[in-house]
Amino acid sequence: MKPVVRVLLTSLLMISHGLTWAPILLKGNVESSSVTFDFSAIAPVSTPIGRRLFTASSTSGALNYALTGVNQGMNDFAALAPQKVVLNGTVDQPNPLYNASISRLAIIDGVGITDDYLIAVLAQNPTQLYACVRFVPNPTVLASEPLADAFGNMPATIRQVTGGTSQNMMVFTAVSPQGEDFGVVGSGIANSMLDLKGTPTEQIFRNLNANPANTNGVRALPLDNTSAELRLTADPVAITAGSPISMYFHPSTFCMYVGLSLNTGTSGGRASLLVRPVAPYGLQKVAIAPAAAFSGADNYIVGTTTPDVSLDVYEQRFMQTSTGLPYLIVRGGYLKSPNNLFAFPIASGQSEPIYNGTLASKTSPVVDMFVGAGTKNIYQSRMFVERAEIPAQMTTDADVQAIIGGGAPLPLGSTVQETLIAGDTVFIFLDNNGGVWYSRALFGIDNKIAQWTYWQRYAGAVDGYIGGFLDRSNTLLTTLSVTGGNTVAQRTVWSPGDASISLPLTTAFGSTQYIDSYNQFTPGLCSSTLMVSLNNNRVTYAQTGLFDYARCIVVPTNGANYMDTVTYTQGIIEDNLGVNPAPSIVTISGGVLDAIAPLTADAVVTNGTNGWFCCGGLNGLAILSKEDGTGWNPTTELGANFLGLTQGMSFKKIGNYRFITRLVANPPYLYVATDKKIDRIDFTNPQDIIITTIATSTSLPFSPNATFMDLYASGPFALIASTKKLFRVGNGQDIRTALDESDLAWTEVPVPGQQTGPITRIVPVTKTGYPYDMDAPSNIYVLSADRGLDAGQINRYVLNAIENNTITDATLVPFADMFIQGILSPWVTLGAYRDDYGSDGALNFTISGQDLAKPASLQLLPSAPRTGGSILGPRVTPIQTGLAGGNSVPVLVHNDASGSWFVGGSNGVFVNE
Amino acid sequence: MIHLRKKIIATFVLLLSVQSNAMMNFLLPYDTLIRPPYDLGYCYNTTFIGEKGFSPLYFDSCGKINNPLQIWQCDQDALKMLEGFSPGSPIDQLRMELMANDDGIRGHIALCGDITDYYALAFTTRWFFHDDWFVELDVPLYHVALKNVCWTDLTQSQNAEDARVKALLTDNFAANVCALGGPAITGWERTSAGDIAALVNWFRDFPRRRELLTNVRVNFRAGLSVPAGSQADPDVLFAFPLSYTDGAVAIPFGGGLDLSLDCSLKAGFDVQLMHRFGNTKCRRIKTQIDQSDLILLQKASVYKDFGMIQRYNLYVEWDQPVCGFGLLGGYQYIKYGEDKYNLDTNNYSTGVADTAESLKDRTLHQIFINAKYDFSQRFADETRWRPYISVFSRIPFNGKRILMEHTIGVVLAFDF
Repeated sequence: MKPVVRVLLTSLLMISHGLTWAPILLKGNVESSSVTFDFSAIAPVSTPIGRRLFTASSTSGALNYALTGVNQGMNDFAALAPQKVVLNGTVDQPNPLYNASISRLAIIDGVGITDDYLIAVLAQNPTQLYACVRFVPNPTVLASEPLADAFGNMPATIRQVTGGTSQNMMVFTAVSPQGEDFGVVGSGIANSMLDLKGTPTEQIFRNLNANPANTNGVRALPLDNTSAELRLTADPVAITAGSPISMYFHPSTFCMYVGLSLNTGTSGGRASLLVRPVAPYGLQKVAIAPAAAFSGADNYIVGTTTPDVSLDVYEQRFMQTSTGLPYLIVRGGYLKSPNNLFAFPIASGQSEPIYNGTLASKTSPVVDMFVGAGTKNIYQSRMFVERAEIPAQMTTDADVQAIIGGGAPLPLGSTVQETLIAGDTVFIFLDNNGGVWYSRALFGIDNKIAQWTYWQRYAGAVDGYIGGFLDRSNTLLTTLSVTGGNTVAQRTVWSPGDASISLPLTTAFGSTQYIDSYNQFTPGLCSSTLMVSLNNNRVTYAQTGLFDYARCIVVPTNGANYMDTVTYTQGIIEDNLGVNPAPSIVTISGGVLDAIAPLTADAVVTNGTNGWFCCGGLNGLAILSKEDGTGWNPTTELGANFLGLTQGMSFKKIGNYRFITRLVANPPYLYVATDKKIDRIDFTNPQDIIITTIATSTSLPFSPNATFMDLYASGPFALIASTKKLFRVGNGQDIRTALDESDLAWTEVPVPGQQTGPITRIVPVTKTGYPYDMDAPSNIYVLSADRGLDAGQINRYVLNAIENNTITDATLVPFADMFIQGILSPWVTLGAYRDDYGSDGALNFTISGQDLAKPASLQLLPSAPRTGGSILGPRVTPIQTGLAGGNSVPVLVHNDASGSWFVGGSNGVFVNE
Repeated sequence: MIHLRKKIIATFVLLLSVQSNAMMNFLLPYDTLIRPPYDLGYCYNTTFIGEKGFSPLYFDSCGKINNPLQIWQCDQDALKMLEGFSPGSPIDQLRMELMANDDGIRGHIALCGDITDYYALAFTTRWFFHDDWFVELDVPLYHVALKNVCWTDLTQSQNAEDARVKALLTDNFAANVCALGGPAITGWERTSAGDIAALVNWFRDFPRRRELLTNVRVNFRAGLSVPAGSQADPDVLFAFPLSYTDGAVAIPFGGGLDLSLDCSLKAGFDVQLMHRFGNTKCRRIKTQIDQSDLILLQKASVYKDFGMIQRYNLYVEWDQPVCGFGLLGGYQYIKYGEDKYNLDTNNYSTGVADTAESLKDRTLHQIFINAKYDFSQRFADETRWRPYISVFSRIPFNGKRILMEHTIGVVLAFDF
C-alpha cells in the first residue's frame, strides 16, 4: 500500500472510529465528551479485585454525585448521595452526604458484589463517620456518634480512615483531639463497627472502645509522639503536623499498617507500626520491628537512629507473591521521596502471635506449611518465620530485593499519588503527566523476591492521575485524573487503538503473523524503542518511543507522529532516514524478503560497531545492511525516526535456512533456530561472518526427530524448547565459544509435573525488560503445550547469575511450586492447549488460535495464580479483543514504550489502551 | 428320499448363508417386495436374482446429496488427524512441528471418488412344509468398486502456518497418511459373498367373504444370519464391508400383513428387525473428537455394539391372475441404528472413539417397482415345476449417511 493511501486510510479510520476506540470516558454528572465530573474528586477506593470503584467530591456542589461509584463493566458513574435516605433507620431523612464536600473515603469489602460498605468523612465536619450500607433500593446511611479521642473526649477530629473486612465490619480511624494536630497526646486510633443485624431501625454504626487498657467509656487507642512503637528510646518523636497518615488494613493478616511522617526527635524513630484488633475488644499496637533492629546504620527506610530528621512513610500496602510469601510495600522512608518504594518481608508463624505481621529478617528461612498426614501432605502456605530483630536482619535501601523499580528513574516532576498491588506487580499512579508505571518482582531460588524489574510505563503517555484500579477480571485499567476543577475518569478498552496513541500503529501493522517489541535496553538501539510486525514478505518497523533525556524516561510515540510513514517495496531503503524523511514507521517488502517469505522471526543484531535488522522466514534468513555488509552505528544510532537507516541498505540473504522459528541476538552473535537445527552466527567481522551449528535434531539428545520450538540465549547459557524436552547448555560449557554441538553437552532440564509433552515457549522476565540480558537472577516461564492432548502447563525457573561464566546445575533451578510435599509441580496447569503465554506479573494471559469453530482468543488466567493453588482448567476468562475470525496463530506482546498489551493476528492488531 | 436330500441340501445352504450390509442399499434376497409368491402348493422354490446399479445417490449427514467420500464429513481434517496421540510419539511430534492451528481450512482435504460397478446376484431356496411353514436360505453375491479417488488440498497460501502445513503434510498427503499408519488413499474393487441367512417363515391366509376384502394373510419370520462376506478393510480408504453385519452374527425377525382385495389389488406392510451381535476386531478409531472418519491413523481392538436394523415396507400391487401379469409399487424405509464402540485398550478414549460419524444412524428411503409375470396360468395344476419371472427397479430418493444406487434387476424362480 502506498504511504499516502495508508495515511488517508488511517485518517479516515481515526475520524470514523476515533471516539469509539479511544479509552472509554466514563460518564459522570455532566454531559461532556472530555470530562466526567465538573468537580475535583478525591482519591478513589476500590474493592480488591476491582469490582467497583468509588470516589467523592472534594467540594460542595456535586449534589447527589457527592458520593459516586462505578460498577465493573459499566460506563456510567452512579450518583450515590441522594437527597433523602434512610438515616439511622428513619426513612425519608435528609442525606448528610448530599451535596457535601467529602474529605476521606474508605471501604469495607463485601463478599458479594452488592455488599460493599462505603465509609465517608465530611470535610466540613470531620468528627463522625457515615456509612452507606445500601445504595438501591432504599438508600441507607448510618451515621456514627462523634468519635472520641484517646482521652475519651468527643468530638475528636478525624485525620484518616480505613475499612476492615465484611467479616469484622470494622472501621479504623486516626483521630486527634479537636483542634489539635495528630501526634499530640490524645491522638490515637479509634475503632467503630457496623452492626447490620436485625431490621433497618436496629442497625447501628457503633463506636467501640479501642483501648483495652482503659475500660472507662469509648476512647481511641493512644498513638502519639510518645508512643513506644514510634520512638527508639525514651525520647519522643514529633509527628509532622498536617501530614498524611497511611492506614491499610489487610484481611489475611488481620492487621492494619499505619504509616506516618514524623521528625525523629533527639534519638531517632520509626514511622510505621501495626495495629490489630484483639479479643474481646480493642486494638493493640505493635512496633514494626524492635528498636534494637534500627541501631547502627540509618538506611532501614521505615526507621532511623539519626536525630532530628524527617521520616516519611507515605503509603503501605500488602503483597502476597505468587510464590506464596508476604511482603509489606512501603512508599517513602528515611531520606526517600514519595517516588521510592520498597518491599519488606513479613514474619508469620511466630510463637507470640502479636509479632505476626512485623518485619521479617531478610535472611529468614522460608518454611512451607502442609496439611494432611503421611507422605501426601498438601501444600497450605509459605512463610518467613524469623523476625528482624537485629540490624543485620533488617532490610535496607541497599538491598536490591527491596528496591521496587530496580532504581530506574520515574518521570521527573511527577509524584506518585497511589500505589496498587496486583499479583507480583506494583503499580503506581503519578501526577503531572506521569502516567501509570509498574515494576514486577523477580524471584530467587528460595522463593523470595530477588530483585525488581525497572519501572516501566503501563499506561498514560500524557496524563497525570490521582488513582485508579486494574480490573483483574477483565484486564481493563480505570484511571482518575483531576485538572482545573474537573475530573476525568477513563477506562481502557481492547480495540484497534486510541486515535491519539496506537490506532495509526495498528493500522500500519494490519494483518500480522508476528509482533516483537524492543525496549531501550536492546543492544543495537540507541535512545529509541521499536515494535516490529511481520506479515508474509512485509516487515514493518515502528518507533514506539524515544528516550527523553530531560525527564529520564521513554516518551511513547503519539498517534500524530505515527502518521509519518515510509514504504519500500523492493527490499531496499531508498532514502536517508532520520531527517527527511523522518518517519515513525518504515515498511519494507519485496526483494530478498520475497525469497525468504513468509516471515516468521526478527532480531536486532549488533557487534558493537554495527547494528542490523534481521528477518527470518520459512525460506531463509536476511539481514538489512549496506553493500559492504555494515549496518548503522549503534553508539549513536538507531536514533530518532530511524536515523541510521541509509539509502541503499537492503536485505541480503544469509546461509541456507528453512523453517526459522526464532532469532535471538546476543552481541556479537545471532542465534538462528530452525525446526531442525540451531546455528550461531558470529557478526564480529561483518564481511566474514562465521556460522557454527550448535544443535541438530538428528543428534543426541534431541534425536530422533525433535523439533526445536523456541530458543533462549544469554551469555554462555542457552535453553532449547523442543517437542521432546527442555534442554540447556551443559555444565562448564559456553554457547559463545563452542566449536560444534558436541562441545555443548546439551542437558535435559527436568520439567516438574510435565505431562503435556512438547515445550513450546520460553518467556524470560528480566530486570531490564530486554529478554536476553544477564542481570541475574531472572525468571524464565516455560509453556508446555500439546495439541494432541489439548493440555498445557506453565513451569517457572530461576536463572541465577553465572559465576565466572561457568554453567552449573545451580544455574537454572525450578521454582518450588508444589501441591504435594516434596514433589515439585507446575505453577499453572492450563487444562487446554495454548499457543502462547504472557504476563506483566499482574495479568497472566494465554492465547490460542482458532480451532475449527472455536475462535481465536485471548484468555486471562484467574487473578492470583499462586504456588499450590493453580489448577486452572476452564477457569480462564476469555477477553474480547477482536481476534476472533483470524486464521493464524495470534501473537501477544507488550508495548515497551506505552505499556499497552497488543494482540495481533491475520485480522489485525488490537490493543488495550 | 428325494425330500430328505432336499432337506439336507437346504440345511447345508442355511448354515453357509450370507446376507449383505448397510453402507449401500445392497440387495436383500428375502426382501418381501421382490421375493416371488409362495402359496402355490409346491414343496420347493429356487430363486435367482440379478441386479445392477446405476445413477448413484450418496446422502451425507444432513441428508444432502454429496460425493461418496464426503457423506460423513465434507472434508478430511489432516491436522486433527494428528491429534490425540502420546506426547513424544512421531505423530504428535509432527503435529507440533507444524506450528499451525486448525482454522477450518488449513490442512483440510476434500476427498472425492466414485462408487461404481455395483452388481448383485442372489440364490435363494425354500422348502415348504406343514402347509403354513417354509424355511429359506439366501446367498447373495456383491461386486462394488471405489474409483477415481482424488483429493484437493484446501489449505491456502496466506501465511507461514499454511506454508508449513503444505510442506510437511498436505503436499504429499497420501504418502504421509500411509507413512503415519493411516489407510491407503486409493481406489479398490471388491467382489464377495454377502451374509448367509436362513429363515423360518410362517404364514396363514384368512379368507374373508366381504365385498371388498377377500383375504388377509399374516406372516412371520425369524432366522439367523451368519457372516461370510467381505468385511471392512481398515487399511484401505473407505473399504466398507460387503454385508450388513461386518462380521457379526445377526438375528433377523419380522412379519407382515397382506390384504387381498376384490378388485385384483393387494396391499400390505412388512416390518423386519435385525439384531446384530457385537464383535471385536481391529478397527480404526478416533483419538480426537474432531477427527474425520476416513483418515484415522490409529487402529485398535474394538468391540462394536451394533445398532438395530429396522426395515419397513409398504406396497400396493395390482395382481391380474388371469393373464399372469402383476405390478407392484412399494416404499421401503430402513434405519440402521447407531453403533457403539468399546475399546479394548486404555490408551485411547472410548468416549472419543464413539463420536465417529460413521457410527451414527443411517437411513434410506427407496421406491420399488416390480413387474411380475407368473407362469402358473399357463401351466396345468399338476405340472411338476413352474417358473416365475419379475423385473424390478429400486429408486432411492432420500437418506442419511448412506450410499444408494438406482438398480434394475431380474428375479427368476422355479417352484417344484
